Amino acid sequence: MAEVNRAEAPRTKVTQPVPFRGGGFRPRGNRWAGVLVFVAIIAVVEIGLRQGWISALTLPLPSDVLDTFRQLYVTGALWDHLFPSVSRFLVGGALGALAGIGIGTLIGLFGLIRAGLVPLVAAIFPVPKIALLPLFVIWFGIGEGSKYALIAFGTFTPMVVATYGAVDNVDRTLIRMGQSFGLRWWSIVRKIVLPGAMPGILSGLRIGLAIAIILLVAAEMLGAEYGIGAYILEAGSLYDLERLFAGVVILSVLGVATSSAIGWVERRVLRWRA
Amino acid sequence: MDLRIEGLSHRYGDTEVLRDISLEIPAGRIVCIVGPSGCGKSTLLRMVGGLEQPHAGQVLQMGAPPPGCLNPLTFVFQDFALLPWRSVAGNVSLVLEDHGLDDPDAIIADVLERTRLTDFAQALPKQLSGGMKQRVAIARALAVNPAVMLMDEPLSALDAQTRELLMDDLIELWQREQFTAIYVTHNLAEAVRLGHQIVVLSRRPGAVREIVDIPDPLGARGAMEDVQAHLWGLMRDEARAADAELLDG
Repeated sequence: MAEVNRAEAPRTKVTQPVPFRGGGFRPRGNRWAGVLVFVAIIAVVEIGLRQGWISALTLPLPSDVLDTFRQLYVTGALWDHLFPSVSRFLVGGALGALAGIGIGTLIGLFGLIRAGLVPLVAAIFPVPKIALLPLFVIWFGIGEGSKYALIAFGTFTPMVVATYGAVDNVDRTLIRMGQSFGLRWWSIVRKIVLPGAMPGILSGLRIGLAIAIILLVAAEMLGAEYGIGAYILEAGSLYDLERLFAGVVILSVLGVATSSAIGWVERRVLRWRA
Repeated sequence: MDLRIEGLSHRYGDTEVLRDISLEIPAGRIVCIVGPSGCGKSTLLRMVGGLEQPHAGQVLQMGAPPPGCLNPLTFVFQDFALLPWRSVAGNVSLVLEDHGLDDPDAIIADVLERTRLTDFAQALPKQLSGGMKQRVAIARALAVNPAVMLMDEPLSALDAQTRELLMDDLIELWQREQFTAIYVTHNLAEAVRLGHQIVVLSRRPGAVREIVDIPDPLGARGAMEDVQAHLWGLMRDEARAADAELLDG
């Protein structure tokens, strides 16, 4: 009997589609999801404060922050603070990034420079640059110079590390190719090494500029009349949470703007990537 | 321009890679170098092209390179070595830019036409198939008007069908203009199709085992199974031994 059953078993075939089990593990963006998260958090805070299940002491009312922001804009104080901050950020960040890319490339190309400078970079990387502000004030004065120097220095170290790592990762076969066609040394650096290192340099720039924003605020808190950092410090010492938050929002916007500017550059410069 | 390799030997640390290799590469001929994997074929080619220095022996250029030659010894690499951020035309232009030419665009147009890439001049490498990429690399090599082409397994990264097509292209190119080439491969079918002379290297340390001349004209060859069988007979045991070797041994 058992044999009969076995013979019959395949006859009762179940036909079914092969279950799909691929997919996933490939996060794909939805540009509105990020906006939605912001809106949801702000709405929850606003409603919570108005209804009283969030204590009025913990957070300012988002609509009050918005109103503070509006006043800032109307009185023109926004530009008084924003312009010095943005120019410090741009000057300091550009100085640091350019120096970092230059030194990083040299470290990537020359063994002696690498042996000499990598330990030095490793030594200054973990030092909180804010701790050096008094030194910079002595060297460059209390004015803009010390702020530029602090921001530049903070951007410099991550840029060096990112750049020499990126130069190390440039496809050696491309460099061999350049040599085999008799390209000049400078041509190889300019046309093969630097473009090949560009993805790594740009992702280093993301980190470097985020650090630049942090240091910008720190520098302005320690000695500036105008600037977003000074504005936040003043609001904080008065426990004026609305103004404090308005300042924080400006910093966030600055961060998002920087990040999307780099994203734009990446899309243009790295179009060749598969 | 002829090439002569004289008593070339090389070692990496304690490992002897090449032993006393002497060869003549006469102008206008394609010399194929075959051998089991790891026998130092590619190392030999890099030394001929001046990318690596041999421990002993030398490579001699005999006679002047042809007029208008910008880079006498020019490589075609297995992995194409195209700059991904440059278009097809840009990749060819790269090797001309340092020479201060009056009209590089004419050279670019000419080599792209010869490799049938004219329509793809503005495409990026990521848009091209493997076969097309290698045609770009061949166009780039032709652009510098080389005296000797050094081809390092140029078809090994391609599928069998593309390989056939590109072999036909290479034969056609050679028939139009008899270029000189050293063609390193592990594929015996390629060697018998493209080589005027086939140099069989032994297993590591690579030494010249046998040199086979094939007098038949390039365009009119069949599979030449008897030659392939003879070559394979020379290599089989060594290939097996090489395969069983530990890589770091």
